[in-house]
Amino acid sequence: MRIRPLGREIVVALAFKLVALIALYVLFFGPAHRIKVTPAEMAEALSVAAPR
Amino acid sequence: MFELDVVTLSRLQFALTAMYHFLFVPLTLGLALLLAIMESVYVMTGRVVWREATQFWGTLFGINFAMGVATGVTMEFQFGTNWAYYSHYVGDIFGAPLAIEGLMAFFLEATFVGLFFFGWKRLSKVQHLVVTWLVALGANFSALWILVANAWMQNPVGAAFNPQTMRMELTSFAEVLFNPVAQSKFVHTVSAGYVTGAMFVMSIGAYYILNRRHLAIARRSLTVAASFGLASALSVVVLGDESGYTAGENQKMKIAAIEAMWETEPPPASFTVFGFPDLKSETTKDEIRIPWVLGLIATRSLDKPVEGVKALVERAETRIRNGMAGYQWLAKEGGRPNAAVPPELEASMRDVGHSLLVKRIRPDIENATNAQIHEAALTTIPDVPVLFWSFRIMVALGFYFIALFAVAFYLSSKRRCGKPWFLRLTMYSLPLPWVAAELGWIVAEYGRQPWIIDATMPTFLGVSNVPASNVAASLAAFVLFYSALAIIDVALIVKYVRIGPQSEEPHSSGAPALPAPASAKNL
Repeated sequence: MRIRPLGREIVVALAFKLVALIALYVLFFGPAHRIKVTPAEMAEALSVAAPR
Repeated sequence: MFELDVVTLSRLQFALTAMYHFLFVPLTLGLALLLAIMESVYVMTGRVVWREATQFWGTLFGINFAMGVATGVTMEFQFGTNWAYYSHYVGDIFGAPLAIEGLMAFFLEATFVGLFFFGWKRLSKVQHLVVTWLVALGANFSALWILVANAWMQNPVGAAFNPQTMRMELTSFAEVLFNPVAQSKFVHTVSAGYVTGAMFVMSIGAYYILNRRHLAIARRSLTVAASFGLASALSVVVLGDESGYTAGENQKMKIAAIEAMWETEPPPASFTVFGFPDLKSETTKDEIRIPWVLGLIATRSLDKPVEGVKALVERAETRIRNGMAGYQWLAKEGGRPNAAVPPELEASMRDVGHSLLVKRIRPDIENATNAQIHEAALTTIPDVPVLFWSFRIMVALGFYFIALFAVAFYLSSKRRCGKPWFLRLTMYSLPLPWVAAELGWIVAEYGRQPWIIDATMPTFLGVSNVPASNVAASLAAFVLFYSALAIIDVALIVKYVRIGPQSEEPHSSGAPALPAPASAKNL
């Protein structure tokens, strides 16, 4: 199927956005960058004094 | 007075960024739909003046849209940076609509906005019109998902607490999506956006007519904005009433605070139009009341009472006591892989959120005295004078908009909208929809306090474990950066309004059909 030039540009733009989003996720938000909050830590947070 | 701890600073930062972001959102919602209407007329009539109008308002839309996107992104990051415990506790539920909104805005809305600006010469008339309508629909759908997330904080449905993971978990996405608070909030908020868009177009149109510039586009824009604004202003008031009803069902304290209603109002409950709430004596002085109206707004009936602040504090006190057993069990067993709520504690678990309010007063809440429990119950009262006045000014502005748009609609339908008094009034009314919208957010969000999730999690427990100095530094940075952005935004909008619409060809309808206002120079 022949894609018109505008259609091609839109596909490229969307693909670029997808790649940028994946890169942002991997570089800054993936599991490696996450601060682990365990259920025990959450339970601890509930039972100690309120934050000041 | 405020204590500048990490909780207050985090709240201030979110309030600042949310209220700043909400300067751009209503205009995006309203202007996008007005662009679609104007371009539809262009496609139907083939008159170039309508395309030029669409392009001109589209330029102002673009400036506003860019600012809205830039200021919205920072808010989503704050959930992680400033509200880590909140995000962990409810991320399963709250994260889904936020992620849907982000992806929709990133892939759909932004793509169609690009096509709107760069597609005039590359798309057919009808294709471009479809793009413009998709921009308008995309903006409105984005608002829907954000408001679904926000409404869940006001009325947490479709979720259950899991003591093993110590998190709220999603049980029904449909319940979250069709949350009655979300539905009423969505239609009320987008209607307020339409009023803002209509006022923006009408005010700038009035400015051009007063200065006898761009009359063809100004008159047409004013006419479209008048009829669109009238329908929207009527919707805002009617749908705001629906928001009041859902709050009356789910957030009784918010309604009592908005009304400065200290004692339970027997049926049929009356509405306080005016008065001076006095916190010391817990009374409202010099009240002017309308019989029956509050009963109709809050309960849709004339035979149900509306509970007052004092009765609701008593109920909060009972719930704090009820939740103590559940809290003690949770402090001991919560987070264990096999933790399961004993059947006899299920009722108590529903009130654990209330018990947690005591933690601001003492950490070992199970040893709280009666006085401390009462003190914690008193924290369930939001700031009564702020809510009382914010609500009344917002409502008064709502009725003012109906009157102004009705006059505009009448005058434009009689082709008499060149009257200088009307044009000046319209022009100087430009900031008022923003005032009403911001006050609406104050009523909704400040009125939710002390809860970050209504009756489930107190706000002070949602903040991140970060030093207050970090939050103070980022807050200061936001103030500086946003002030610079505000200057740039206003300068850009003023610049493009001064330049005005660009005409490729002189159109026959461009001749001024209105009598020249006598003293309309350089307003």
